[in-house]
Amino acid sequence: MLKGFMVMLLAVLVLAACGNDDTSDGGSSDSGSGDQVELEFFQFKSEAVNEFDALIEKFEAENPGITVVQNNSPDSDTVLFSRLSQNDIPDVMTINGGVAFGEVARAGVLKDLSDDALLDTVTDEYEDMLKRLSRTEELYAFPHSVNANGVLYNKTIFNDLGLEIPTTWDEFMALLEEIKASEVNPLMSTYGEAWTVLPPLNTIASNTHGMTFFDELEAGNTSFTEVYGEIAEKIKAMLPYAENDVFGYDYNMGNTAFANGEAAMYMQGVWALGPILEANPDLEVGVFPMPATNDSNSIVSGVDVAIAMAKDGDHPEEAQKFVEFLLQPENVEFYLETQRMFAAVEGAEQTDPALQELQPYFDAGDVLPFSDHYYPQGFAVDVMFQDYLLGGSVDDLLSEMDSEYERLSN
Amino acid sequence: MMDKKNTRVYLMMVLPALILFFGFHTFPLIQGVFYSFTDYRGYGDWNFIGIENYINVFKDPRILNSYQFTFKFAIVSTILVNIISLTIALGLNSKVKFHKTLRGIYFMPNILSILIVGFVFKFIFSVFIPEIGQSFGIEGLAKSILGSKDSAWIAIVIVGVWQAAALNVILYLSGLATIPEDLYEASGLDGASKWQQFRHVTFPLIAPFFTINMVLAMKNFLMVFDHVVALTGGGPGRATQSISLLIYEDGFSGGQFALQSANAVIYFFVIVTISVIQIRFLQKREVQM
Repeated sequence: MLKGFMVMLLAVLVLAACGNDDTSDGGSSDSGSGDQVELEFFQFKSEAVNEFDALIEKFEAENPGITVVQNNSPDSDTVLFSRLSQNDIPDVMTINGGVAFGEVARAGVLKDLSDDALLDTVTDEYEDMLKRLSRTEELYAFPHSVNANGVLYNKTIFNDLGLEIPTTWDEFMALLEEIKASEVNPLMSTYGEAWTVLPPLNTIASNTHGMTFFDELEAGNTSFTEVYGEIAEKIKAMLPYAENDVFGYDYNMGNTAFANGEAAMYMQGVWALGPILEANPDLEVGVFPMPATNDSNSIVSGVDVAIAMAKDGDHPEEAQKFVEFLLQPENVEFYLETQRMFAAVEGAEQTDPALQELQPYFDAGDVLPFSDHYYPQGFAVDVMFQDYLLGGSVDDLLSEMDSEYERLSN
Repeated sequence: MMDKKNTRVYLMMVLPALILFFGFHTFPLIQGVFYSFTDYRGYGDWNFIGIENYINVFKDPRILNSYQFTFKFAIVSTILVNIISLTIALGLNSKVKFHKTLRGIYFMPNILSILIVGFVFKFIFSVFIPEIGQSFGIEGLAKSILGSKDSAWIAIVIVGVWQAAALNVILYLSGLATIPEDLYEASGLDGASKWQQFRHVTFPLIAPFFTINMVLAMKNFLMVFDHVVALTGGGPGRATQSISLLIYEDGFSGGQFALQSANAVIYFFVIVTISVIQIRFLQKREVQM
């Protein structure tokens, strides 16, 4: 009796497991009602849902016969990965140009865009950045909008103290010293939350070693021990100028405190402007590129939104049409009005006054990628630096970086 | 005839739960064990690699570090929680005023989500206490204890104990209710002091409850996760990275699903072993009425 039940139970479970694949496969795109085509648009930014909805509405009005359904889910990387493993690829998707993009691109499910005519309008630097992430000759996504690291500064404090924007590392250190002599906290640092060490670290690292470092590293010609000593020293040199409770503060506390005028400068990304201006809309804030070296410095910027298409989608022409629409300069500019990012497409500009000091760098293409996007997946560089800044030695840091690199790149 | 009908009824009652339990618990568990012998990253292709993951678990300094923190945290918290909850239970068991209301209040922490409690305590540790410290000029309190590698684990112990004591108080209270009043009368007539009564009457008689509380508390604290996520996220550095957190972080976002599956399998056996040893050892000293 019992045995019979167990067999039945197993049969049910096996059937359920098999049935899963069938239902998830073809469900999304076929609407079946004549010539109306439905596209799935997988979009990862929860803060941009409304902007994309408005754009979709405009697109649908221009293209009767195509319906676009936006799909925004929390923890989108995980969702996308699990759908990839079931071969259930959205028609059009946005992906953040980080480590995860490389993984998706290498999975071989995205359409090769290397010869697409749309690339003429796309900034070359970001094309290269995405190729470097996927480590392929082919391009698997269009860069749409890009972010940047920088030093957020309180314009009121800078005016009151008569300070000038620094352009070299030495000037930056002198500026920190000058502000320290006044009553103001020179620098807000929030290393209680490990990732917030990345904005200054990426800027210094990318400007110091460039992108060839990663090729050399892979070839075994160099090591973190050889290159990162100077970078680690610079990160530590700034620590005494952060007079807040550095390791007790997290990102949110830092944003609020900076918004309330509790520090002159704050090394973050342009994404922090949103929460800061929400906490204090009257704050006079600007952003300048962090001068990481005494030579000329580039701005560190990464692809925030990249747009990709499925390789074997059901409606390739309609998908192409929608992507072309999203990348039109006027539509990118519409997106940039509310999102404090920059365009990866020529002809679209960011007009927010707080970001004007950065725009020339983008116009000149004077940009470098985020270093941390090119370490192996799982390389916790932020935690290693946090550990080091809490009193670890440079030697320990460098040898840990080398051994972690070796462990993870195998 | 009668028997057979009954069996069927009972099976109907048990079966749905069994299917659900097998489908959502046992089956994923078996999958996890299976993947620990592969190089699976959580998606994509994989190969069998034998017991390589198990060897690497023992060579990984981060895993050893997380064992160190987790055991330090679990042992200290288990001891504290049992001392504190037994003390509170003894107090609530006496006929103080409002003891029923007080019982309700002391149970409150148990029904709150640990994440919410954690965020509230995070505010207390990183904003409230430092402000007090600064305004009274007390050096030791002026900085958040969450920001120091030496003291962050204490904050997690405080939250863990505060939250876990509630359930243990209830268990101890139900234990105390099983002790017949005449034993206290008899020992009182023999001239036993309050301490002697506790030492020789109360404590031996609630020994089964002591056992279950020790085992449950230890097991729960060894699996600590929410507290750490809400308070420190494993930091500063890796000072408060618990085993569960490491399995979650490296397994899901670090692309080391297979290695962390092996870690989880090993950890499962560690917890089972500890629980069995605890039960064996503590049951020996229980007395039967």
